[in-house]
Amino acid sequence: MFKYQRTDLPLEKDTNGRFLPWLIAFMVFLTVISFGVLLALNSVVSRWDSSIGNSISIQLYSQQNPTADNTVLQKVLSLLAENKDIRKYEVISDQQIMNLVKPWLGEAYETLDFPMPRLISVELVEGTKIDATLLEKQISDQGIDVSVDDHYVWLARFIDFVKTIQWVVLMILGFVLFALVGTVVFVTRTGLEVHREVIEVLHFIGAQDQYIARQFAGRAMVMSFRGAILGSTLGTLALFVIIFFLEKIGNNFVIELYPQFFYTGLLIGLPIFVGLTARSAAQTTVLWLLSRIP
Amino acid sequence: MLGNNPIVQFENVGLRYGVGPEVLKDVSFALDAGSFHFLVGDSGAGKSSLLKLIYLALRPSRGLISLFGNDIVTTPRSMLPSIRRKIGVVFQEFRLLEHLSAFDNVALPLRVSEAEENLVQKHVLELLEWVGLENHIRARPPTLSGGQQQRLAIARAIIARPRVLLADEPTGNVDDHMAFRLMHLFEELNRLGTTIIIATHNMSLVKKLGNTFLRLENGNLKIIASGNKENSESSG
Repeated sequence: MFKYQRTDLPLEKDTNGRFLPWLIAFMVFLTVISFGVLLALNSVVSRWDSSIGNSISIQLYSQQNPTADNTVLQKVLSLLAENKDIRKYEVISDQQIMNLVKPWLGEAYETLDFPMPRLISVELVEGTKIDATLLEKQISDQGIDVSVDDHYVWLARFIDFVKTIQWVVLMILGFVLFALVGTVVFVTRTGLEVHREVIEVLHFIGAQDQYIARQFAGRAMVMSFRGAILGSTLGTLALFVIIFFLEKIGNNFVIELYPQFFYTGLLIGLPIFVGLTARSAAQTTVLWLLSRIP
Repeated sequence: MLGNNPIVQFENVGLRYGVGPEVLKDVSFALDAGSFHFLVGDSGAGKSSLLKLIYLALRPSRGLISLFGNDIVTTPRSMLPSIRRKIGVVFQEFRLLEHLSAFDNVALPLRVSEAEENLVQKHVLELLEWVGLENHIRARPPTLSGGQQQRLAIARAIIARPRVLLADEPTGNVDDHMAFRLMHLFEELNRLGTTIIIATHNMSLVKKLGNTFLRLENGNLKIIASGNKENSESSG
């Protein structure tokens, strides 16, 4: 794949094709970065969706009477137990609530005497959504002062935003692929024009269009493969640098998002894909243009 | 000239470039396998155009051309290479590929036919020796003399053992001695069964060899038998 095969056309002397590997390298570099961003966003959404998108929290306001508060809690728990969409629920302990509010109230929170609400974390059955307003009404109809927060409501907005970014990234990848094919087509067209006389001779001695197309395709593949190797290596290094800095600032989730196969895919899979795409684009271009010769 | 099974047949063929006047007018002839012909005429008479029609570089504006029994007007484009492989061409300006060695130039017709490389090696070396270029195997065409390039072009034209050999002014760049040597080479090929058509304006050579010849005058073709006797089966 690295060496040119013997060709009857002096393609290695083409000046117009010499910039092809560098252009391909730049495009592949952009692809690697875009692909990394796409995968990271994908993982963030799926992780958040599975961890908090599938849960709601119920807040029971204190009546400053522990016995009454417990009665209310038991009532609500029995209501939750009857609901088939709920997989499990857990009452958050006072200590856990204290730990949650500690950052806002400081060290003095233990000396403060104010009513703390009871919190219940509810996990829904996989794939189900619950109408938080309806659940809140069901509970408040029992005369209970309650607030039900559906995490999916704000998560959905975030997911919509991330999905928009994903579409933009996908569009960028599409443009890169389009530019790659376009560049190969342009270089091939120019090459055909430059070597018109040699191609004519090859035709006169009985060369099939496929024979000529194979020579252009082989060269396009080798040059693109070389460029893609360079681009994917630089792109992967750039991703490592980005991850390194994200880790430094404490955003360590990114590392988990790139398993080993991702890097292997970038370093091996992407150049092969680019090489084969360039080969196919060059071959199709040559066959199409030659078929127009009477 | 019109045998039962002509290898090349033209019927009322006309050719014009773009909207210009016809350079070939109602050309009709048929050539049998294994025949030897000269195509003569003044410069601009249409000799090269006629040869181009035979080696499928051009399509006729009208009329019918049949090569090896195939009507080339209706033959699909994908079939043309297999017809072209039966035709060897020695171009007037040789059209050797300058970036390739003498060996690779001669090997081209075999390689486009995807012949095995060991056969390519064997046949090309034999042929280069036959045309006296065995000491120039690695030489590039620009480093060879006119005569050497001519012999290289002939070697390329005959390496794949074509059924028809076309040569456009093959003696144009060589002295009389070399011209006769080349002619003997063509006669030798003809004896092996190859149909030869040589376009030339060297009438002394034509008369000396005494073959039937085709004369083009203002786009009209006349078939003249050997011995300089005009034949009535002319066209145009």
